[in-house]
Amino acid sequence: MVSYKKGSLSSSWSLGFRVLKMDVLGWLQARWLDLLYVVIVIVVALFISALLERAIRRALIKRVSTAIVNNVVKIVRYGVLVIAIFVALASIGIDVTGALIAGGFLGIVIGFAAQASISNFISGLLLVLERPFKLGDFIRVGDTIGMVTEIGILSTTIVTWDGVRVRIPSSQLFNSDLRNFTASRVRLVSVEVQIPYSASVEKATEAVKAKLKEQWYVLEEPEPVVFAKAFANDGVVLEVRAWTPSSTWFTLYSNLPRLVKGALDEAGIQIPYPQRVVWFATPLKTEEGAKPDSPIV
Amino acid sequence: MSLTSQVASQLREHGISLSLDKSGSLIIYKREGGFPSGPVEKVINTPSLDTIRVYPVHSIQPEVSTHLLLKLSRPIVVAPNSSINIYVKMPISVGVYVFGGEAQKLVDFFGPRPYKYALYGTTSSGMVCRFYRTDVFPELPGAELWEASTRITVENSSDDFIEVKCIVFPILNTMIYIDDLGRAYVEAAHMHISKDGLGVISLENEPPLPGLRSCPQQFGKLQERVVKFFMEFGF
Repeated sequence: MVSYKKGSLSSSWSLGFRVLKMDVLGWLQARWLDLLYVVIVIVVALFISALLERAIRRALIKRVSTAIVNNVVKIVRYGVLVIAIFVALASIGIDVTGALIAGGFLGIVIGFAAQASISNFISGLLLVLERPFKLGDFIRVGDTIGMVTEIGILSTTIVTWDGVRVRIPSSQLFNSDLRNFTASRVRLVSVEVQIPYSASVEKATEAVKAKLKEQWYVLEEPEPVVFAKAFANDGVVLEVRAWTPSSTWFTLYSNLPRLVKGALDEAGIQIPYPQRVVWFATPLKTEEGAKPDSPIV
Repeated sequence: MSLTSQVASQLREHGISLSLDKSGSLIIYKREGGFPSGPVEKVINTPSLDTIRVYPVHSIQPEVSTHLLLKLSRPIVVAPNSSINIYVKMPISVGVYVFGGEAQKLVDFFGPRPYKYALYGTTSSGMVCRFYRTDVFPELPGAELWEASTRITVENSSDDFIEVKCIVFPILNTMIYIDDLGRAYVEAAHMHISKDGLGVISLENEPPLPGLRSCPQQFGKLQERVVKFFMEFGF
């Protein structure tokens, strides 16, 4: 069993502390200028990060959501601080190579582990810069169409026509074919309709144009366009095009076929049914006095 | 609701009928016909029928557009370094207000036929404007029920003749005035065409005639008054 004298232990501790104190004081006396330099660099870095934070907030606050602004500000603040610390330590002769290598390895490990998240993060930052849509816009990403309700760095939430909330990762948004339906002030809606070969194309065109011009949500300029597009089996194909403000796009989209049909009905022009001209090899036998629409015997 | 018999008959001509019914302490306002499409029925909590009044209002749906594109049926050609006063007509609607103390509320507004809109500029970056075709008059024309008139001073500071075919007017909270006969006027405007051919229209914050009474602000203080518009897509 080993026993220690109480007095010897405490004296060795106090000796060690005195030596340490002498070392620290000596180091401080020798390197106080370097320390001051480190403190100044960190204070300057804090000042710069505060300025950057203010500038970023001013630049982004009206463009993106507060959550994104806060995230960007945090990244910039800690990034500036880390860089300042490394620069200060390196400049006073402390070797930071090991820390950098360790940080690099850590970065690689984290990079592999969180590849998708990092991809989303970077895509989110690029989307913030590019701003292809804003809150309230109607967009289509892949097969999903809806209104943007939340824009985050990692993902964006849209609510579809049928009220389903869909979270779309930023990398998918960035890499896919994105359509913004509300970015333009006006939208074109078109529909095709057939009229019989016996009907006048001019009469049909005028009737449809006049009907469209009566509607408040159809723009006066550019004015609606109706033209004969093709010759189909059953009639002449007309294409009807009309412009509308983006806010009334659905009103026109949902009413255009009805308006076209109504205009043709009013003009006495029927939309043709599929027709076939049939030639008989021998003359048909018909009953004496049969009406034209009676079945053929 | 103070409507002259002449106005009431003009409303009837367009198939519009208005009524106010008192039911206990409530007043029921009804409109049939007109645009935006009726029928409209509202219950108004106000002590008397006298607090409900009719004034001219801008003929716009603010959710669609806040600007008016006046298409001149006869374009005007303005000589270099000169200015000219022209008078035009613009569309107005009937606004039904309820007043109480300092407050006011636009209860309903309507026009005789659907409002029409047009695109000013390109499809990607242009602007949707309320569309109205007007003639150009040498002096202030007498406006009918659904129209107001105003003066526009066109100043051409460029060294070329300039042809003006359309004028875009910011009409959100632009002042409307009435005279003693109930005819409506919109505040005068100034169109300046600079040396590089850019058109800027500015509201002058004054009636086109002295002695006119101003009407209530259609959108109150909720909407900021716009007094200048750059006609970057031509005129």
